[in-house]
Amino acid sequence: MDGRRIVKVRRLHHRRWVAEKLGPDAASRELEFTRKIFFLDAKNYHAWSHRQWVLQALGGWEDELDYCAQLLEEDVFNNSAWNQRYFVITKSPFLGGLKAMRDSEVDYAIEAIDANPENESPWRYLWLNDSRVHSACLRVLKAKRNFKFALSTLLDLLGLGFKPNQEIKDAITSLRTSDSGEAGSDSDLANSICSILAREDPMRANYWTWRSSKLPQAAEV
Amino acid sequence: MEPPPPPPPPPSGTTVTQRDQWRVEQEVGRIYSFFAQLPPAAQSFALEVQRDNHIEYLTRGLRGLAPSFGSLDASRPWICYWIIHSLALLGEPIDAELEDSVIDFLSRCQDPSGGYGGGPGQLPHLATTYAAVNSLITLGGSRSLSSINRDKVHNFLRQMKQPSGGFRMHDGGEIDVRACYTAISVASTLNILDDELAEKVGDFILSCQTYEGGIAGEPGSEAHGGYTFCGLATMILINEADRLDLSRLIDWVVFRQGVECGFQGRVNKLVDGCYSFWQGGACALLQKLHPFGLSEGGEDESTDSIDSSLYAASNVSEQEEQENNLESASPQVDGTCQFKQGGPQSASCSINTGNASYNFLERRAEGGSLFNSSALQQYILLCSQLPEGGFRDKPGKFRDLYHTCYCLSGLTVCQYGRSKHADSPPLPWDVVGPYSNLLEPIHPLHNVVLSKYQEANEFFAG
Repeated sequence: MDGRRIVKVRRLHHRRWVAEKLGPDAASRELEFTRKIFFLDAKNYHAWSHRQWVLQALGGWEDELDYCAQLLEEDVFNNSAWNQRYFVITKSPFLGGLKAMRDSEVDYAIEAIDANPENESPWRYLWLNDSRVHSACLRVLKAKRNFKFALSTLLDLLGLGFKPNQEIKDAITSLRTSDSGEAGSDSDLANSICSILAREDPMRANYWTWRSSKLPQAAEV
Repeated sequence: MEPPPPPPPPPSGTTVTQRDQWRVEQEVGRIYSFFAQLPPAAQSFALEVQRDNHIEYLTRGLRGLAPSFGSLDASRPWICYWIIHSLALLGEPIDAELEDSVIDFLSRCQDPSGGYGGGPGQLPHLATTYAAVNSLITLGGSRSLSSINRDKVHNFLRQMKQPSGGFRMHDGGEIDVRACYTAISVASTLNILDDELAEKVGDFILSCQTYEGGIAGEPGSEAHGGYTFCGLATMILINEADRLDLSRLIDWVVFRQGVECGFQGRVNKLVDGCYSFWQGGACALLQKLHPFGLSEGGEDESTDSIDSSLYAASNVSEQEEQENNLESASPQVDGTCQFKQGGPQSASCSINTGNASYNFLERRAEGGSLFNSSALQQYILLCSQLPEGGFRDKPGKFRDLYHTCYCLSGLTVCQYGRSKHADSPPLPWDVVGPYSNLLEPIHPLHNVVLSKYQEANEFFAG
C-alpha cells in the first residue's frame, strides 16, 4: 500500500481547519490519525508535517519523545523519526530545549552509530562538537568498516578547529594505502581524509577533491 | 534470453528501510550486471535516448488532454507542462493545431482576477499558475505569451503573499517553500518581481533549512529534495542565497546520490528518477554560486569509465555484509577531476531582483560537477528510461508524465553540468551514450528550455 495515496495534502489542510475550530480536544484525535498513517508508511511526509502542526497548534507533547523512540526502535533508519526527535527536543515546552537535552541526545545518537555506523541519520543528528563524538568516530575507524561518515564528520570537525589526538591520527593513517598515491609527501591530516574518502566513496570523488581544495592552508598535522 | 534467477530473500534481522533498500539495490544491480555483459553494439543501443518512442508517448498524452473539458482533474496545467517541456527538451516542435488548443485551454484556466486554476472555472492556485506560465513560455510565440495577463497574475501573487514572508498556495491553502518558489519563479519570468513580493521570503526559506543541511517544506519538517531545489532557486532569484548555510546544504545534497547512481529525496529513502532534477538541479545551481570564491584552477578532464564500473557491477554477487551494498559498482571517477570555483567577480549580487534570473545565466560554472554526472545519466538511461517510451521512478514502477519530465530535465542538467555557460555544447565525454542523446539546455532556475526563456525575457522586458 502506497501511503502517499492515503494522504492528500488538500484533505490534511482541511483537517487543520476543522481541528483549529475544535481546539485542543482535537489534538489526540489528530495525533492518532497520523499514527495510523505511520503504521503503514512511517515516513509519510505530509502526515509528519500535519503531526507537527497539531503539536504546535493544539498540544499533546507529553508522549512525543517516547513515540519517536518507539519508531526508532522499530526502524533506526527512519530519518523522519530522527527529524521529529529534533523537533520535539527544540520545541516541546516540557523538555527544556536543546541545552537541557544535549547530553542525553548525544548519547542516544552515538548508541545508534555504534550499532549501525552506516546509518546516516544519527550522524546528521550529531550537530555538536563533543568528545563523545570523537570517541565514536575512533571506534568506527578502528573497525575499518562503514567509516565514510566517521571520516566525513572528522573532516567537518577539523574545519571547526578540532585538534585530534594521536590515536585518531593513527587510525586515519592506517586507512591510507601505500599504493593509492596519497601517502608520502602529504602529511596534512585533512588532506589525508579527503584522499581516503575519494578512494572509499568514489560516487563523491569530485566532492572530496573540492573539499580538499578549499581546506585552509594551516591545517593541523 | 533466460530470465534471471529470482533474487535471494533479504537478510534477516533488518528493518523496513534496510529491506526496501536491499530490494532496490538487487533490481538495479541486475540491470547493471546485464548491461555489463552485453556486446558493445547492444550497450550503445541501451544507452540511447529513445526519442521517437518518447515523443509518441508524450504527443499521445497531449492529444488526450486538450479536448477533455468534463473532468474536474486539477492537474491539467501540470500535465501540459510535463509534456510540453519534455517535447521541448527533445527538440520536437508541437503541431500548430495542438499548440493552439493548448493555448486556448490554458487561457480558459486563467481566473478573471488573476492566476491560473487547475481547469476552467477552478480557483487559481500558485502551482498551476507556475505550470501554465512555464507551458506558455515553452510554446513561445506572441499568441502564447500575450495570452498571459501579467497585471492580473501580479495581483494574484500579491494576494497569496503572507505577512510572514512566505506564500500561500491558494486561498486558504498551505504556506510552504514550494509556494514561494512557484510564486517567485513566475514573477521573475514575467518580469513582475518587486520588493513587495520578495520581502521576507528569504526569512521564511531560511527557517526551513534543517539541522541536516537540506531544506524542508515548512519549518520543522524533514529536509527534502523537492523543497531543497525550490528553496535554493528562490533564494537565488531574490539574491539571498548567501544567507543559507551553503556548505551544509552542499554536503546534504551530494550525499543523496547513492550506490544505485541516482538520487534519493531524503536520507535513508529510496532512489527515484525525478530527483535527478530536484537534487541534480540543486547541485547545478550550487556549482554556479561559487560560495567560497576560490581562484580558478587548471584544465579539467574527466574520463569517467562506465565499462569498468559496470564490469565491477557484474562481479557483485554474494556479499558478507548484511546490506549487500553496491559501492564497488559505482562508476569510477577519474581522480584528477577537479571541482573548480570561479573567481570572486561573480559573487557580486545585484540588488535589482528583476535581473537576478538573467544574470545567473552569465555566471560561469567552473570545472567538474559537484555530483557524479555520468553515474546519474547511467541511472536515468538504464533504470528509469523505458525503451517503449516514457520514464519511471525506478525499476518495478510504471512510467508517467511527471517522471518523464523530471528524468529528462535531470538528464539535460547532467549533460550541460560542466559547460562553462548555460548553453555551450558539452564535450562528447560529458554525454553518456551517443552524442545524439544531447537534449536542449534549460534555464536552471525555472526549468524552461533556455531559448524559450530568452524569447520570453525579451517579450516581457518592455
